[in-house]
Amino acid sequence: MTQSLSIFYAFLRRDFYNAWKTTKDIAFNWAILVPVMYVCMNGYIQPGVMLGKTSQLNMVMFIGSILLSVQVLSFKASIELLFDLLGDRFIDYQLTLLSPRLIIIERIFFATCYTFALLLPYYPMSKLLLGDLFNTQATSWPAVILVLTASAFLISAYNIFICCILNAPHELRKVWVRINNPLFMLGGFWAPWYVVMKASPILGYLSLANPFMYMSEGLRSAFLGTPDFFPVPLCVAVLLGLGCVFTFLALRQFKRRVDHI
Amino acid sequence: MNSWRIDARVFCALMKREWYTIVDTSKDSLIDGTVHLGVQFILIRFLFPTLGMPNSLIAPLFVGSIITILFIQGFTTTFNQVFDLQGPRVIDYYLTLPLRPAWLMGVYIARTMLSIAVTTLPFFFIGLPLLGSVLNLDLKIVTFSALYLLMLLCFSLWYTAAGFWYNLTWVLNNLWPRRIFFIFLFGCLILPWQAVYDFSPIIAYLFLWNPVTYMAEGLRASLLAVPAPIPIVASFGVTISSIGLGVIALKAGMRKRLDPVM
Repeated sequence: MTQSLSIFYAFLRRDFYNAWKTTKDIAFNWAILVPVMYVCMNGYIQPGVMLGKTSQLNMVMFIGSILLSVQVLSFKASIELLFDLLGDRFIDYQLTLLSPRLIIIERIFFATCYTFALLLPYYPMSKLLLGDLFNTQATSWPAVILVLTASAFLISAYNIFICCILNAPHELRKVWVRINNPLFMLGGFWAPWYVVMKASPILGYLSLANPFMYMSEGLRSAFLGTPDFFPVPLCVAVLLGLGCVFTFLALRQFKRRVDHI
Repeated sequence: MNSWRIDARVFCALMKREWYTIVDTSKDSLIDGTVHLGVQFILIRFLFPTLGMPNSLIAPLFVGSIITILFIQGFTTTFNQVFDLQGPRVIDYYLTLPLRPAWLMGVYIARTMLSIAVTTLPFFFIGLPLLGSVLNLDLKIVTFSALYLLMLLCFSLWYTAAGFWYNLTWVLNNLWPRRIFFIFLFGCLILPWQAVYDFSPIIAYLFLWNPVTYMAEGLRASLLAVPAPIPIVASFGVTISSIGLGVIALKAGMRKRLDPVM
């Protein structure tokens, strides 16, 4: 057990070491550049043009914009598994040292930590730029961090599961266009759940099956503290629960793919 | 003349082969386009108006969303291009054919234009009739066709050029956030220029630095019965200039990646 844990730790260090080489670029892009652009568009221009200058709605529209960064960062941290499974299969060497279960858990843990760490500057950066338009008086920062952690975990487990089921890199495009894009665009990227429900109750009930909706609702609730959104504990519970489900599915699929015994 | 004839024959043979591939993958492209249309339709027709957006913005936003497809599908071109240059290098086989590089690039660009055009078909054949009553359509077929073809050409050129300019890691990590995202977000795709002007003239004038603004407004003017805030001539002018710059970028990219003697 101790030996497994030390190997687990060694693999984790390796992943962080490898990621470090490109982290500067990715951190600059997704923790600084993209938030700055979203602050300008989703936080200021778009709500101003579409809805008039209302501070609360500016925030409601802007908060969900983090969903794209969550998905992209976690995807970048997870995708190496797919390329490895289809190419060099470094994983075969890892399998001689650690059980498939622990390898997948290590990958999910790494992707979660990586995604979470790079997401941290997103909102402080936005606050810096938006100033009073981004009203954080009612914000519960521990709740924000809790929702972000749970979101990073769920998305990482989901992405690792996707890596375990795909058989070719070109299938990634289909996953992005047909699954990921609709999920985050309709999962509260712009419109919160009460708006979806008001627009179409059928769509509203369907949205309850969309994990992104719980991320955006949890964050809106943590930032604004109003009862218009799902409560944070519910969102965190759903995100963690779904994360566990995807972890289980990834474990099963990975074992089926690499371990014939 | 003889060389031109050989070029044309090889070009046609390659295009025939590409046509088969496009027909073969058209089902996938149409599904992608339909999914994209579905998402945009729900957002623009239902969610944004419920949030408080005036109904007058539905039509311009929907037309703008057609261009988002060009951005998304174009990126696939760059990815495939870069992947080929760093991996299997099928392009080396093409370069051995009796075909001048400019013609070869013609094949690449025509292929990209066709594959993007197929993906946008659901927007025209399903999206426009679905939103019919809200759109207030006034199709100027010649203007629309000409501008749309030029836009396809422009996007194909620039995305192919990007495939020659950058390596795979850079494309995966940086192309979208550092190059495309800015042009995409601040190009009047998700907001019509007139509405931005009413909100803030300074921001609206800044948007005029982006060529996509002219393309989006031109497409709106050619499809909808709304007054065009930007003259259609300007849309054509900027699109053609962007194509010219795209040709220069593509030439430089080819020189950089394929053959320094070329």
